Amino acid sequence: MIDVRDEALGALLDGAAAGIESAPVDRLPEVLRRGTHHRTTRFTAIAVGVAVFVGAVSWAGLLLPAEDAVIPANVADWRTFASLQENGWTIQVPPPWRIQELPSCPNAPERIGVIVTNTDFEFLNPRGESPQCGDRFVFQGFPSDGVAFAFMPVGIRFGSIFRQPDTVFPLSPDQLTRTDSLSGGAAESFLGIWREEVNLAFVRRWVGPQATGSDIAALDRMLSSLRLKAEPEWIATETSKRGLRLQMNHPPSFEVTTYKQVLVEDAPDPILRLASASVGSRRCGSRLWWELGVGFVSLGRGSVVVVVSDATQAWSADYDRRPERFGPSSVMRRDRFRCQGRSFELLEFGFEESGRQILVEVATTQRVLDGTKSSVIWRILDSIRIAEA
Amino acid sequence: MVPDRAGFEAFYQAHLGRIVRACGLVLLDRREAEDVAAEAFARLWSHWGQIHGEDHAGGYVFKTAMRLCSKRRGRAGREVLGAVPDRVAPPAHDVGPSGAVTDALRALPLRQRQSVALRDWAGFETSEVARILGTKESTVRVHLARGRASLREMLSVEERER
Repeated sequence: MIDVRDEALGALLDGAAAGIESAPVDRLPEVLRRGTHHRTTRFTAIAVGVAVFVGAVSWAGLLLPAEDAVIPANVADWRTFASLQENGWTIQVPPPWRIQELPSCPNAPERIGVIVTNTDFEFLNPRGESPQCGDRFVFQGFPSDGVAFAFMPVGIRFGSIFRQPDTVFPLSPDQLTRTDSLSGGAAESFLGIWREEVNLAFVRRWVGPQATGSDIAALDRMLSSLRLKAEPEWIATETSKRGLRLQMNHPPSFEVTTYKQVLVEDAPDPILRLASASVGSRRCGSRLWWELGVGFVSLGRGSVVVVVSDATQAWSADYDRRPERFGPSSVMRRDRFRCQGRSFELLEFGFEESGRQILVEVATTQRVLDGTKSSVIWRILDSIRIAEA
Repeated sequence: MVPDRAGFEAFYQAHLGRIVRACGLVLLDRREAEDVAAEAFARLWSHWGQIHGEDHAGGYVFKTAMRLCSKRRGRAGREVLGAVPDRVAPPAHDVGPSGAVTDALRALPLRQRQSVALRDWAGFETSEVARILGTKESTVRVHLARGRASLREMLSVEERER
């Protein structure tokens, strides 16, 4: 479930907060004195502990703040640009950054765009004018320490060839695909935003060669604050087979197939299959789960199929413990194959959990771009939960 | 290594008001909010040499402040257990003029109040709220949903997506 800040409630709370002393009593000398005392006490405790028990050091003294996650200090001051209600999307922008609104495209007049930068740079199209729907930007003169983010509405509806699964939010920089279009200048990356098989927009991110860490962090936080109206909630699906309980989350549009029968005793035993497109009953080669009736109906759709199997009884399956987060480095094996005249990429993952050897096979058509893989597939895999039934 | 006092003082001056107001929305008591904020900054100062950057400091002081708020509320709850007053006395230090909002906040459980204050007033992302409160993001979403629903009903706020 994607959460959006409730600005109406926020405004009411702001009114209540304003009633609190706006200039609270300055207790800085007391703060410094108490803080110094805390520090002294902590180090004294450590010294005593070490003196008495070698290696038994005060837990309190080692509660280093460096273990705490970094959380921005100033986000309450960030501005909201665009509206879910009026424009179908919204984003949070750092206060001093420059906002340049982009016009909407004729097919969706309410869906304006934006380009935001930490510099004073004004973005123009190659004709030297304010950018219009679908225009590119000229980056000549963009400061080397500049960063920028753009939400660019799409005016042309591509045909079925380029359809992708729904984009997963919140976005992160690793979902974007790097380009090499600005040689020697800002590093550019992009991602198509898809909803119900429609390409709504593109987001683009630029980072100058001398951009500071804090500006990049603010840029990526802005990216993660992007929200679309009425994002579909993912569904949790659960099934059991032969004493194993499997739970995983997936987009609501994915089809779910569960397998209750055991077909081959010493081979991976399929438990559940997710498919982003309606699957037909085509057969390909000798792969077990293909024989179960997996196939892809439409030419070129960005289709994803995920099959989870219990490989505990299979041939020498001896997988490592499941990774903390799934990603490209978790891939055990890659393969490419053809089925009914179409090309597919196959990724295999194996991990041990709850005493079971779990095999996950992910097949995608070549139209599924890297950004979609990272956003949909990794999230599905990360949601897998295995337990004894 | 000698901690950078000038850097800490600059951070303190820049963020004290916000921390006090955040604690005020949770504790609904101005003096308690100032006490908690002072203690949170004192603890931050004691670890200042290990802080790297303003955002790290912000996360640390918010997290510490919210934990202290939770402890304060816990102590206050235990103090009234077993005692049934004939009449509920008004709080000694009211938050401010917005009585209806503070009454509504007072009716919320602590975690819901913290979640709504951090998400909808302070503007932290849900994942950041979870890290501040030391809980799961799914738990925060539940607190937010319930807290917002209660506040909207009590304050007659129309639910709309911005």
